Amino acid sequence: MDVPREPVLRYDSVPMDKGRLENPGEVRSAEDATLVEWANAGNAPAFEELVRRYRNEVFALSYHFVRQRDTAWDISQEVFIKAYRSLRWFRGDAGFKTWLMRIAANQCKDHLKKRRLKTASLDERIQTEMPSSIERPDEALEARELGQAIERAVAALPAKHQVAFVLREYEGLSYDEMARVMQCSPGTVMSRLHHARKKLQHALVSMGVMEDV
Amino acid sequence: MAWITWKRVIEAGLDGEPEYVERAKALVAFHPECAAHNRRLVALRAGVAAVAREETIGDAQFPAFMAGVWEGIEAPQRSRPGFWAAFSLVAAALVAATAMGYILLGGPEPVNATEVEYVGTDLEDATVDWYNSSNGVVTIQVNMQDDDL
Repeated sequence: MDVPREPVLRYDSVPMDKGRLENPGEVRSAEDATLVEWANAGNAPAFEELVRRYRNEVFALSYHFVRQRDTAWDISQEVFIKAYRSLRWFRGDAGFKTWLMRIAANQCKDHLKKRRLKTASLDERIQTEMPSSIERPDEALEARELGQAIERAVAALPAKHQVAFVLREYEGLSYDEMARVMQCSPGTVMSRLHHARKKLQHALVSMGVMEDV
Repeated sequence: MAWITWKRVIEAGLDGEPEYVERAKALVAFHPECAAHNRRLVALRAGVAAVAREETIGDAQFPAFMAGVWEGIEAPQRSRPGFWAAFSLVAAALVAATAMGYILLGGPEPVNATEVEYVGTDLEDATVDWYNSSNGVVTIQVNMQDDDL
């Protein structure tokens, strides 16, 4: 059975009443909801602007899960492909960014489950830049070791706890924002964060990089 | 339960949730265990910050990224692998439901023999009698000569 192909957006198929290319600046300055409406109507520049605006948020979130740039790149592209195909169902009750982050979080969770992501060895770690405030090499090494231990421990968390921890500690989302992304209540967000932190502390104590108080 | 509750208050306060900030501060200020928990959380956060790096897709990389997105959008969507699994499941369920219906609702009418229509025998000089008892049991009697086996 042939699967009907999605209509392809082209610059020359832009509807005449939405997002004409006479004023590209109009696209750059338009609000998200307007861009979604235009993109849904087949306006390629509008969709590209949405991708341009939020590519880094999606990429950063993906990277925090998979810790590999190439994989995060692929996941991010999948997120926007999925977002494009789901534009018609975007209701606008949450912001477009929140909606996009929800897709990204789910995509990352699916990727973790499928690939059974294992923590990369220390040798495969991307070399991190030393924070400028740390000047002594031993302090830098200690901080790096702690950070790498945290990364290993985070990667070993259950998916839903990992999502909560990454959204809070790496993306800096509020509990309300996290609740919208994770499609749960703020109380559930608190619970998942608590369990994530508790498991991380246990793991770090067992690794010997954190004191057991 | 109270142990878990105050820990979460401290965590929410550290996360900057407005309704928990002041309560968390008070707990940390007056309870050593709360202060210890707060220190662990701060250490955890500091460890994250120590290796956190901003991963971005630069402007120079954006065209390649966007090209990949368009390529994915234009690619024909694969038939969902779960479709055939679901189809098989539905077919199996229909077969199972039909079988259960056959069993539960009954197949052909069960044989219900309550009436003798004919009795007979091929034995020479033997006679066959039958009679119904009061409880509906049918008895068939074969009479033979005394010296026959």
